[in-house]
Amino acid sequence: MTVALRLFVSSMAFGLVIGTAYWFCSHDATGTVLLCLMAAGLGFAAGFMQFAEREAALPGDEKNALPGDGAGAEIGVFTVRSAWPPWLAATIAAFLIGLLISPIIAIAAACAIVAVCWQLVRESR
Amino acid sequence: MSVASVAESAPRRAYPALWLISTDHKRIGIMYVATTLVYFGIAGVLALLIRTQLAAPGNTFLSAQAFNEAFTLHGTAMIFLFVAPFGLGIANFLIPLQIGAPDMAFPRTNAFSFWLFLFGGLTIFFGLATNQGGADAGWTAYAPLSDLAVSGGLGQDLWAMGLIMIGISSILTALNFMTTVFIYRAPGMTMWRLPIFTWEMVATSLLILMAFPSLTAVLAMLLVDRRFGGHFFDAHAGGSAVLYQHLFWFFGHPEVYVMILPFFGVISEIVPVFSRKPIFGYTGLVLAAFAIAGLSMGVWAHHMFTTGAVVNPFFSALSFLIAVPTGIKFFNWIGTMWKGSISFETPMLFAIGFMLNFLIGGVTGVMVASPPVDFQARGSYFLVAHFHYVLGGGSLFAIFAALYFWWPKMFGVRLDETLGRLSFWTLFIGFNITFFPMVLLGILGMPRRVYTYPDLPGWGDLNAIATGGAWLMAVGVALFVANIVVTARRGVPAGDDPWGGYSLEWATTSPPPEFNFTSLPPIRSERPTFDMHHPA
Repeated sequence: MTVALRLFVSSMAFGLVIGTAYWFCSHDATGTVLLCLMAAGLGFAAGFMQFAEREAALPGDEKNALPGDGAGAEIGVFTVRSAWPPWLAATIAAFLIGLLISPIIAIAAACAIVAVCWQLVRESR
Repeated sequence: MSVASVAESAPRRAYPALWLISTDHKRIGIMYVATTLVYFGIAGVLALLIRTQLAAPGNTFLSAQAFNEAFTLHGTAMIFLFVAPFGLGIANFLIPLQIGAPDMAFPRTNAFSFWLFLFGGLTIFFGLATNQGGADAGWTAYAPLSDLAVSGGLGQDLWAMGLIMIGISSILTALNFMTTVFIYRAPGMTMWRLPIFTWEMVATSLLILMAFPSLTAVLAMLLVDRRFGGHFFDAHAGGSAVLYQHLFWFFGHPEVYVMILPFFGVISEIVPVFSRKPIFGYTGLVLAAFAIAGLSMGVWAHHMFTTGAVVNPFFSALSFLIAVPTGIKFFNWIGTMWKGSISFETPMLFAIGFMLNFLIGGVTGVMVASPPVDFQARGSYFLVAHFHYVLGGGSLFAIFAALYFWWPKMFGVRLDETLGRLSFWTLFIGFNITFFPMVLLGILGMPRRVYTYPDLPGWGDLNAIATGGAWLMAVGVALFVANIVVTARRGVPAGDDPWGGYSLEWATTSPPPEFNFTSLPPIRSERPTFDMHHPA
């Protein structure tokens, strides 16, 4: 079991133990649900790592690996710059503020969000 | 080293506009840091307004409404716009460098997180520009103080919406950090060779993922109550104000550790370098971070002892327990310094200032973890002193330590040492003159969150002293700003590794190139740069 997986499993177990203990101490539904949801979320992450990513072999996990050992392997696409993240944030902010002050702003911003998302998808192809 | 496939490899130009569309983690990290420092400046001005109002009994410098807005926005800005995001900002700059990665796992998401944080902060302050004024229900916005009847202005809605944006931004950043650390470590950089700062950021990210959804949920519920006819927190319609407190503090207490764990990491990086020793008890420090993170998820209702609606012994016992892993960290820092060849450059001074101040914050925290003491101190200036010693004396001093320590890596020049030392002593003395009188004021029974107070014995004098200390702190901050200006004008190149650092960021140039490294040293311990400079 990798260190990362152990981290999620032990955090999930801690959440379950503390959630159970809290229920028997308090019979308070709010706190118990919060703690159990937390454990469930961590369990989902642990499950993903265990089942979906178990074939992944990372050079970072090899104690004796040298910097050259991973040479040539493509590890991802790293963009240097993109204009769309600030636009996406601005349109989402406009949408949320629009919900408070003007439905017209919210609708216009929602359209802009779709357009910006489309541009992001196009750019990442 | 593995190669990164570069989507766009145009040479880096110095156009300022390019910063705005950059997805380079270093630039985003620096923009985070700069933005948080601007928000810190605004929060500091609000603090000076608050302290000036409280300098004398019966003062009329601010109206009650203006005071409420000032302390609400001061608390909000310090917590959500300065201390917590500074940790995320400096981590943005450092994590890929410390693990030998070319960038964050999701560069565009990283840029989006920053911009959403920026707009979230602006949304919060936008309330001041409305004719109904800014948010005024305190940084906790307890129901029913934050309901329409008591706090009817648009500013309170904008406050909640701005924090929702910041919450989403923080969650995305945490996901980015964890993915980057788990997947993009350089060959040989096993998890147990990670620098302590990176470990602390993994713990912080875990906390964000567990706690921040609760903040988003409670603020959405608050907005539904305020704008869309909901009754989640309206006791008259079958809702519960205590429910608000449960949901808020399920986020709010872990948030305290989101604001302190990164800075435990900062101190754990600085102390060994200036003690010329490896960190004492590496494994213990890592496990203590996760013990603190875990326990902090189970202590939310110690903020609710006096509601009578929670099981006080359960939350009190867990709160006491947090002192154990925190004590382990202190023990390890002292163990690191013990018999070390300590030098007292500015980052180390701030690190020691952090330890001294945080110790007072921690000890007063253990005191109020006891329900009988908490019942006595609740709602008093004792609590104001306690959390300012934790977050001001603790996190703030670690922030300055981080800035002085990693400034050469960010910009290639060292901040001026003389101005740095002067700034440290002014801030350290000013801080304690400001906040220690508040311990005494709390014991004397002065309530917090009041815009004026009667002329009772001791209250006026102690408040005047505290106000003087606040202005002295402002001088300390001004000296820091002056230092930046002086360094920008006539700073001398610092070299790649001016402090004799241990972790991987000191093995590359200052500032680092695009994608961080042209070559990496072999990684055989948690001190790869030290190993490179001192081969066995």
